[in-house]
Amino acid sequence: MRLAIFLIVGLAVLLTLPLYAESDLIVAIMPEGLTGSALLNVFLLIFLFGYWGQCWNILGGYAGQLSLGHAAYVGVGAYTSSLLYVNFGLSPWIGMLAGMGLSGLFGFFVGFLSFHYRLTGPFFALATIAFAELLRLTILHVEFTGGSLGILIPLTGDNFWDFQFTNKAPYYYIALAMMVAVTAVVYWISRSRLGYYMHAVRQDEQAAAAIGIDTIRTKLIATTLSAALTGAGGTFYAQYSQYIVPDDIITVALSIEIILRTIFGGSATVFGPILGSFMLTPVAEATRVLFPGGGSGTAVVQMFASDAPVAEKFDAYLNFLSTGGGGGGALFLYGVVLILVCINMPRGVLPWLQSRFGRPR
Amino acid sequence: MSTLVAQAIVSGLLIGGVFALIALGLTLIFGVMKIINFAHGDFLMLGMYFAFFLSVMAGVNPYISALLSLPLFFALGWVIQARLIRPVLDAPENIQILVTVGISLVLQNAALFLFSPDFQSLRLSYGAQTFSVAGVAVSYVRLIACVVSLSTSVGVFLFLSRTDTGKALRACAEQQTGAMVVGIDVGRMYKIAFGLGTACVALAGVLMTPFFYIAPQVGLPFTLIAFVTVVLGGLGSVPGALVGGLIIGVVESLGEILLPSPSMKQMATFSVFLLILLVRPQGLLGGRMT
Repeated sequence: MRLAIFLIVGLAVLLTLPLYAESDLIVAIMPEGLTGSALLNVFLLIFLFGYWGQCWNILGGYAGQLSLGHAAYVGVGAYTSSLLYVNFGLSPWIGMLAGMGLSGLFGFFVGFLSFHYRLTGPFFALATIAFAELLRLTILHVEFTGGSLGILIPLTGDNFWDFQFTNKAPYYYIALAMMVAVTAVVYWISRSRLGYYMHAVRQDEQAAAAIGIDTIRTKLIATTLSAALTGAGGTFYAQYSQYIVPDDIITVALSIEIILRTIFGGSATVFGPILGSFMLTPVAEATRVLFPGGGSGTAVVQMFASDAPVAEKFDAYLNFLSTGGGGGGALFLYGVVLILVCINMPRGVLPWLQSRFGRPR
Repeated sequence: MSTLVAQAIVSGLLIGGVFALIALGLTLIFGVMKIINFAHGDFLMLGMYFAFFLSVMAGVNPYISALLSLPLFFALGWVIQARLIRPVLDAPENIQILVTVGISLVLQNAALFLFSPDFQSLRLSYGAQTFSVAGVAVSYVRLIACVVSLSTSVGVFLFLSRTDTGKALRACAEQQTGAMVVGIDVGRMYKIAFGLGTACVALAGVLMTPFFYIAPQVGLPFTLIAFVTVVLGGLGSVPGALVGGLIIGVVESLGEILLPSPSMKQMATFSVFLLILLVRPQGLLGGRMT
């Protein structure tokens, strides 16, 4: 009951946020540059990564198969809808469905090979990285995808059918709706027979097989569903950023960003990925704003190699670091958080909170 | 065409020797601790920056840095094992992997923060010099890297097969409970294995600085290559790492000249990887450590 009230109030706040994102109150309490559309952008990223985290949660959390290649499914979704739109003028909304189909198919293909050849644990993780890397290299080297130049989505102005909007509010609502919808799917899975099968597979695959669960089928359903849903997020990303290029999307770094919030919040829980995204995304965005980086390492090295006095070199280097050095502050922080969470609360924040403050079940 | 192929095979074998040393470090850690270290390539990156900055700031020759790097990175590996890996040894497999992923993120982005994403390279007066054998050009610095890597690998092999500590490490790899029963300090062996594995990969990094670009993200492809090599040779097998390293070196090098674009060489590597992973996951020489 408490949870239901909390969710309804939270959702109401989020639904009305675009209405007062530029109000005096928000301007008064938020730091400069974090109001209006910038604020909506942060929330939109929270929703998008909450969405992707939830997609990963189906396979990596509930079914317990550590995929480190989810960026590949983002890529399939993004490229399918964008190519259909740019070449045939097909609405990205339909492209999104096509993208889901193709990324689901790709997920099925990865899973089919991996599970039939009995890859588990680290071997499955490695195979997912290898498939993702192969996809990235393929997209880079075939012509119709634009290769390393990527795809620029032509602007047509405010147009729902073209999935394009000139202000951020519509994107904000779409991302919110996607996150809520996928959470509903995960909630349904967690209570369904399929969810219990996944739970059994995660706990002990041999025992699950022994009591008659078709473990390969269960894992395949999890992979396909997870991949297809992740692909829809890819289409959203392509339409929101309006420019996609393989080296930005299909990277191990993106796969890890997708996983991180789920692990932090609590994998194999319904609200863990959402909580994780709400806690980590703002921190990362704040770090990106405060420490933009972009300093020149070549200049630093030249300065080091010069004959200037040591004190001068030291000052110059501190100056370089104080503006964020060469960048990477946000991901550095993620690394620290990931290590600390794994060591101290491997089940995530939400289960930890529940065990401390929740009612005993 | 035939000299081109011969050239590619020679270049492949030279870089393959370095791959072997990188893979040896990974296989040592896996063999003893059954942990896959996703931060492996990032220690290579650290080794490269170590040699680069010593050379730029103090004029130290990279081959002297190579000697200095061994105790330093052994100690670093030891500390990381004791502080970060040991607490999760009993945790689920996924958590162990994610800790090493976290270490990788930290190292990579610390380097990005401290040194920026700019590509650096170390220029030595003899860095580009070659000699030719039957029309095939051989670079001195690559030859040195290969020879030093292979002799280090042989040294590690002898250490594992001849010394008491080496035998204790192998005992841990084969039967942990048994090793404990006969009085081997398994916790200490873990630290030695992680330290040794880290020192191997960092040494490989130092040896590569005279002919390879240096950047914070340079590690990831090598982590993947090390996995490929190790899976090819058999996880935990030292001779497997050597053979696997040489094979992958040649595959990459041939891929570079035979595929339509040189940057497609990685596709050849990953295809071999998936093929081996799927068809023969125990590797070509799978099984025992030595």
